[in-house]
Amino acid sequence: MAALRVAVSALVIAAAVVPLYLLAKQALTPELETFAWPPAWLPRHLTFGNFAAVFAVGELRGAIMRSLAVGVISAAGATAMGAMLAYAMARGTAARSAGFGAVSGVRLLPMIAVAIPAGVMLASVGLYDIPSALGLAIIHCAIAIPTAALTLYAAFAAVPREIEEAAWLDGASPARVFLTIDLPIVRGALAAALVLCFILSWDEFGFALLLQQTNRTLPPLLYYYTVFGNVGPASALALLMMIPAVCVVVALGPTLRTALVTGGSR
Amino acid sequence: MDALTIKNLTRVFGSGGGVRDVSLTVSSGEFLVLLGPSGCGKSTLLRLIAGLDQPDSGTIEFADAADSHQARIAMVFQNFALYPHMSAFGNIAFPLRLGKVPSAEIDRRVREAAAKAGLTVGLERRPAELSGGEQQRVALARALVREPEIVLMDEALASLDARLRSALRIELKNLQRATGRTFVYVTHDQVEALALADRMAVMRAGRIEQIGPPEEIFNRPETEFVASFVGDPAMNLFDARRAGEGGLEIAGVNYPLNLAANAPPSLRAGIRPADLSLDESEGALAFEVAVASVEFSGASFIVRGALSHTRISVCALTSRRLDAGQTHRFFVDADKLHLFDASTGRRIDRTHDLSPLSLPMKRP
Repeated sequence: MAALRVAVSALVIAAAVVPLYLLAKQALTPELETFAWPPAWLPRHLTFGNFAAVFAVGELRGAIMRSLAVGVISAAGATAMGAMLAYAMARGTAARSAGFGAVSGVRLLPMIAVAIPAGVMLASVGLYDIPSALGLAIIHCAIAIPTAALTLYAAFAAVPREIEEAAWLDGASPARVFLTIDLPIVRGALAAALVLCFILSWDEFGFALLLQQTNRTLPPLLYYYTVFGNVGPASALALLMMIPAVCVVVALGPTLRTALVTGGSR
Repeated sequence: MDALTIKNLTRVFGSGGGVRDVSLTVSSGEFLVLLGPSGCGKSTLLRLIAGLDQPDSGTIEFADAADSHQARIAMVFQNFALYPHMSAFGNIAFPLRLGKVPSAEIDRRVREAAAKAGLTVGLERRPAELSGGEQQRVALARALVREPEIVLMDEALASLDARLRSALRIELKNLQRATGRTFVYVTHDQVEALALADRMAVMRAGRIEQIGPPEEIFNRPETEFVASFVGDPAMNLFDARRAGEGGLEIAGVNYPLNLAANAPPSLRAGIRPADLSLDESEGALAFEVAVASVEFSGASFIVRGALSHTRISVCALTSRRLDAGQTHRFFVDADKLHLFDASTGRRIDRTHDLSPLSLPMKRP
């Protein structure tokens, strides 16, 4: 039994770690080694040439700034709107069924089906493929609202009703109760929602490819690297792209875990 | 002066619970306890007074305010409902901060209210770092800090352990006397109700069965339900029949009682366990009790047994040894016998030649 458990655990860990290792190896070795036959598990020559090649591309700086801006704006917007939706869902029966309907509706929708109409809409208001990528940020915000709302719903539902009633009797208006009582209590879940929405946007490829054809964000940039056969620099860029997510998860690990498991009201 | 007048208040839930046609007046400075089993509507009534729920019909009038949000009403919840992200100080100061009170005054009034509620240390701590009793004191201080006219408490001591509960009960009563505030207190614990109340309302199925001073509720229960709900051990209740000329038959024995001629044929007879005694006194009614168990409770023995086929319990102050398996004769004064109409459950008063039941004590 114990041996089987060890074997299964090893398999699961390997499935996650091996691709990462290969990516790191490709990023850190010359391109010739990547395509060597028979394939070598261990790197022979280490080089930072691929990273240098990535940074040599003039587009990179703009793409990083754009991806960061889109991620931050869409995460903040989605969390703010998701919080209001989740609060309504947690407190009202009608809002709960309507909210869950809308949230799962957005999730069930094939994103690519709305990509072209979304592009036409953005173009009609002058937000298509602009350097600031504000149009993409709006779309990412809309996509992320269900994620934010579902993350926050359990947290709001876990806030005892009596706490709100006490605040109301103390003289607070409903808006005041939401802002000064509920939001601070669910701050762990708010952090979790922000992080999840940011990563959702940071990784998002389809809309980014279609809506920012020339003013690219990072995922399409990475895609073009691969398409043109620059596997080494592409691996280096992919590795770099993981940095924000890894940083956030390491820094907020315990908070995230509590928020996702218990609803974050601790 | 009346702090609160409730007229024909009804709020019925889909589940059938709620409050049905309740009318009630609470005097200023009074400690009113709403007592009843769970689901009797006592918490609903409290929430209606607080304005947390709206009635289907009926009115609540406050002394000098249009509604409960304008009236100075504070409430202490069973789970205390403290704000977990604020310190004890922040919790108590919250109502004042909403009222834009200057910070020096907030500081003074928070400390004053905390001292009144018996909270001396730990104002900087979060609720999670406080003991149950301290949390209770924070909740109480938060209720008092706005100097409310009416303090509502919903099972406010129920989540504390027994020793702390009885200590806080005394403090609460003293606090209410010292501040002169009107308290409306909900509980399912009749011991708590008897100890705290100036007046208590016993509720069942959304209605008030009886309202009055605790002594009156205990000594002269208006219904069989009140008789059985108030008192521990509970009142013994037996089926009885009118028999012969004003007599009453209980468990096959006929007792001469001067029952009124218009008394219903079928009755329920109630005897408080503490009113039964081994000593025979003049005119006392005798009951043969087959003793099943004897429990020593410190001040007295609690004897449980059977009268004919009905269970009976006795609180006996005796040095005589009682053994299980024996049959003993217990006596009760005829005027300590409570009679209820078996069909309506209402109290039946007997003819006037019997000595009157002990009168309720005059309240301050």
